[in-house]
Amino acid sequence: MRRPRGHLGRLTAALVLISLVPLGLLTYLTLRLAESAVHGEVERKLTSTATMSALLVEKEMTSLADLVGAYAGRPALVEALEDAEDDPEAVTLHLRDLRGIHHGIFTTFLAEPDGTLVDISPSTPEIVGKDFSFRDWYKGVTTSGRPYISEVYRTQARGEALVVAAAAPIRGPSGRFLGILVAAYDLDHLRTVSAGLEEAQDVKLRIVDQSGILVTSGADASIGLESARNDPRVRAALAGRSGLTQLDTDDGRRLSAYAPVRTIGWAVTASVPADTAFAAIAGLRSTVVAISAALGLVLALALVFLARNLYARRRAEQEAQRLADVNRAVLDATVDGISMVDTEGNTLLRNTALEMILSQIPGLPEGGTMFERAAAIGELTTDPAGFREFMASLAERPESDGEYELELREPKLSFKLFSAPVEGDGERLGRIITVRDVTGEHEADRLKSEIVATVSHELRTPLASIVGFSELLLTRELDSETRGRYVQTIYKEASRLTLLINDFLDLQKIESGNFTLSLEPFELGDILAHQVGLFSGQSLAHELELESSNEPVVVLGERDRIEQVLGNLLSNAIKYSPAGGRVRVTAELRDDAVRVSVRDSGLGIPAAQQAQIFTKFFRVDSSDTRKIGGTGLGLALCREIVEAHGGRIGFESSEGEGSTFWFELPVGPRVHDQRPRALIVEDDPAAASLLAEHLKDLGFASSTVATGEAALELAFEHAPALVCLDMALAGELDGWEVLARLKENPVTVNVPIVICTGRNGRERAAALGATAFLTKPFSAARLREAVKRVLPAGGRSVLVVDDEENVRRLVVETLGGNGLELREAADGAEALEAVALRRPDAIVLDLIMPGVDGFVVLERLQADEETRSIPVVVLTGRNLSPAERARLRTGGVSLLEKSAYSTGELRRLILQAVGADGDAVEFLRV
Amino acid sequence: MAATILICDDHETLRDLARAALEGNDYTIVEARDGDESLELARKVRPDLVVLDLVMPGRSGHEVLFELRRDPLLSETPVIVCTATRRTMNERLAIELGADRYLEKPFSPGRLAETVTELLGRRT
Repeated sequence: MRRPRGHLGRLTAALVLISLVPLGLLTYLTLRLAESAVHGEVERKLTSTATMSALLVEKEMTSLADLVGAYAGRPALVEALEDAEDDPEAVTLHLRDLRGIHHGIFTTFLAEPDGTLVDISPSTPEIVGKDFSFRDWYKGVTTSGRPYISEVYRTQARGEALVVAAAAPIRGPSGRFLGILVAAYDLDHLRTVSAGLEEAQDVKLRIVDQSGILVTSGADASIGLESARNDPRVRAALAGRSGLTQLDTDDGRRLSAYAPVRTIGWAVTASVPADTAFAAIAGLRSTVVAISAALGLVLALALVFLARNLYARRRAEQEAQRLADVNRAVLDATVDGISMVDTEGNTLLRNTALEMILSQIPGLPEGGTMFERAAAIGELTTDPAGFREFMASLAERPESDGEYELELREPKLSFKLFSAPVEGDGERLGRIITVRDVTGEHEADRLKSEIVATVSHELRTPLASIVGFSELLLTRELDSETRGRYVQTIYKEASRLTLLINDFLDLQKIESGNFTLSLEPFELGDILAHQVGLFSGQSLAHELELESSNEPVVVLGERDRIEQVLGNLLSNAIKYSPAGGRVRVTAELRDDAVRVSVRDSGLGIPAAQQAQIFTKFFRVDSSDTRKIGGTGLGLALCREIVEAHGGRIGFESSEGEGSTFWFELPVGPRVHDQRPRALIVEDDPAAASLLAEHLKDLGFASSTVATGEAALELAFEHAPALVCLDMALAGELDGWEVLARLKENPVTVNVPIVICTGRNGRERAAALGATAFLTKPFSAARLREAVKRVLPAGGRSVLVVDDEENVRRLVVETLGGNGLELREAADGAEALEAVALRRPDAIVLDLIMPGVDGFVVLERLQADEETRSIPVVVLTGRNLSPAERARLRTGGVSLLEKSAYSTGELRRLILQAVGADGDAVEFLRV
Repeated sequence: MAATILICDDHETLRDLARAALEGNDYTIVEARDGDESLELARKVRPDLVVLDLVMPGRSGHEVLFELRRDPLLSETPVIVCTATRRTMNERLAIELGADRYLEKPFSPGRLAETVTELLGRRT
C-alpha cells in the first residue's frame, strides 16, 4: 500500500508543477505586456507633454519676438525715432503702446545701436543713457540682425526681476540700423503657463534657455539664475535632441522626457517620479500576481484533491480486489466443494474443491441449472428417489436449509450436501450449496469396524480353544493323556494369544509414536544364530540354514526388537513353506548397512498383492494361504521396528517359487566416522598400502593420493589429522613444495606432518615445520612412535573395562587414532590387575560385570592413594537410581549411558580426562 | 444308526475342541477345513447336523449355509453356526439364511453338545 501512495504523491507533484508552469508563464507574460503597455502609455504621455510644452514655449516666445520685430518695423516708430530729438514723447508713447499689447511684457525699451538705453517704459530715468551692450539681447540682435529671444537675466529696472528679452533691430528706410527695440518678458507669465501645464499633465516641467539657465521650474517662483547644464536631459535637448530617460535624482527615480524648443534654442524637460508613473504597473502586477496565485492555489488544491480521490479510489479498488482475492482464496482453500446459485438455480460461483469433485463424476452435463444437474447426479446415486425428493424440497421451499447424504454407485463416493438460502438486503439471492466428500470418513469407518472385527475374530479364536478345553477339563472325566493334550493345547493357544496381543499392542505403541528404542551395540551374528536355532527346534519339518560373513558385524539397536523382526520373518517363512522346505538366512555387509535376508521356497506372493504386504491386518489371500493362520500384524510390525532403527525392509517374491524378505540396519558410519583421517601422499602404491595398514592399526582412516596437487586440494578442503608425506611424488610438485604450502595455509598449518622418504633432508624438513622424519624403509614400531609423538594424547594409556567384547571393540575404535594406548579388561578383577600392573591415565568402566563389578572396582580405586585420581568414565546400560548416580558423581566419575551415548562424547570425555582435549598445537610445542 | 456330524472350521484346534465336546456320544464326526470342502463333504456324506464356522478361507460360512439351504437334500439339515466374528450382523444374517442355532466363540463345549443333542432329538 505504500508504493502507490508514493507514486501518487510524485504524480500529483508533477501534475501540479506541469500546470503551474504555464500559469506562471502566463502571469509573467501578462505582467510584461501590461508593463510595456503602461510604459508605452506613460512615455507617450510624457513625451507628448514635453513636446507640447516645447511647442507652447516656442509659440509664446516666437510670437513675442515676432511682435517686437513687427513693432520695430513700424514706419511710425522709425519716424518717431528719427524725430526723437524733436519729440521724445512719441518714442515713449510707442514703447508704452508695445507694452500694452502683450500682457506678458514687463518693460519695453529702446537702445541705441551701440547699446545705450534711450528710453524705457514704464519710465525708469536712472538707467536711461546706460550702456547695455553686454546684454545677450544686444549681442543676439547685432549678431543675427533679426528678432531675438535672449537668455534669462536679472533686469535693472523694476525690482530686479528675472526676465527674458525679445529684441528686434530698427532700421531706417534705407536699411540704416537705427536702434534696438526690446520687450522684457516677465517670467511669471511663462511660469503660469508652465504651472498650468504641470497641473494638467501631472508632471514636473522645466524650461531652460539657450545657455542652460533655468527659465522656469514648474510653479516655483523662487528660482534664481541657476544653471541646469549639468543635467544630461538638458544638454541633450539643447543639442537639439528629444527623448526619454530615467534618472536617479535627489527626488528619487524619475522618468523624464526632454525636447528642444527649436527656434529659440531653449529646452524643455518633463518628468514624473518613476513609482508614480508606474504605480499602475505595481497595482496591476500585484493584482495579476494575486489572481495567478489564487488560480495556482485553486489548481493545486484541485489536483491534490483529484489525486487523493484517485488514490482513495485506487485504494478502495485494491482493497476490494484484495478482499475478493482473499474470499476466492478462502473459498478455494476450503476442502468442501462450495457453489452458489441464483434463485433460478444458475451457477454464480464454484470453488476449486467443487470443480475437483465434479471432475470425478463422469457424464455430468456441463451447463444447465442446479436442478438439471442434480437430476443427472441423482441417477448416479444409490438412492435416486431419495435424492429427487431432497431436490424437490429445496425447490419447493427456497427459504429453508437442507442436508442430504448421497452415495454414488460408480465411482464409489459419498457426499454430504448442505444447502442454505442466501439473502442480501432482505432479498433472496439464491443458495449456497456445500458438498463435503465423506468417502474417506466412510472408508475410515469401514476400515475401523473391519479392524475391530478382525482383531475380535483373531482374539476369539485362540480364546475359544482356551475356554473350551478348560471347560472340558473341568467338567469331564478324562484320562491323563487326554488331559495332558488339552492342557498343552490351552498353553499353546494362550501363548499364541499372548503373542497376538503383544504384537497388537506393540503396533499400537509404535503407531501412536509413543515408542523409544534403547540402543546398544550388539553383534548381529549372535541373534541370527539364536533365532535360527530357536526355529529349527520348533519346526523339525523345515530345514533352516544360516549363512553369514566371517567378519563380525556390530549394529546399534535394540536387541529384542531386532530378534522380534527376525523371528517374525522366520515364522512367516516356515508358515508359508511346505513341509521339508528350506529356509535360508544370510547376512551380508553392504556399504554402510548390513542386510539380513530370509529366503523361503514357499508359496510366494501374488504380484497383485505385493504392494499391500506390509499393511496392517493384510494377509495374502489365495486358496493355499487360507489354511494358514495369522494376525496380519507381523510384517507391519517388522516394518515399523526396522524403520525406527533407521533401516529398510523389503522383499522379492514370485508366486509359487518362494519369497525373500530382507531388512537392512545401518552399521559402520556411527563407528568409522569417528576415526581421524590420515592423508598419505605417496606415489608408490605398495608403500602407500603398507602405510595405510599401519595407520589403520593406529586407529586412522586413511586416504591416499599420488601427487602433491591432489594432496593440497584434499588437505585444504578438509584438514586431515595427520599427513604422511613422501618427498618424491608423481606430479609437478615435490614433497618439499607440498610441505611448504601446507605450512603456509591457515587450514593446514597445525596439521602434524610425518615425512616418509628414502632421501636425506631431516634438518630441512624440521626447518619447514615437519613434525617427524622417517627414512625408508622403516618398521611399524618406528611409525607408531613417530605418529604417537605427533598426536594430542600421545603416550597416554586408557583401560577399557567391559565384559562384552563388542562394547570394548566399539570403545577402542572410537578412541583409536588419538595416539592413546588402549588396554582392555573383560571384568573387574582383570581391570584391577591391569591397573596394578601399570597405572592407566583414564578408565572406561562398565558397571554390570560378572564377579567383581564396576562398583567394586570404583571402591578399590578410591581406596588407593595411587589410583584415586584416575579419571573414570562409566559406560553403562543399566538404569541407575538417583542414589547410585549421586554416588558415582562424588567419586569424580563421568557417566555415560549406553542407550544414549554418542561416540563423539566418549571421545571428548576421554581426551579431556587424559589432558589432551584438542589443544594439539600447545602440546606439540612442548 | 449313529448321527453324522460335519464340523466346518479352518482352525484345527477348534475342530478338535468340537470333536472333544461331542465325544462320548455315538456320533460320526467329519471335519472340513474350508468352505469348499464343507460343501463338498456335506453333499457327499449328507450329515445329520452341521457345525459351521462363518469366517473360513474360500467360501465363507454364509455362502456354505446359503448353498446348503438351496440343496433340496440338505435344506432341512440342522446347522449350528459357531463363530468368532461379532454377533450383531452375522447372527441375523445367519438366522435369515436358515441357521438353527448361533453360538459365539468362545463357546462352551457343554452347550455345543446340548445343542447338538437338542437339534438331533427334534429331528427324529
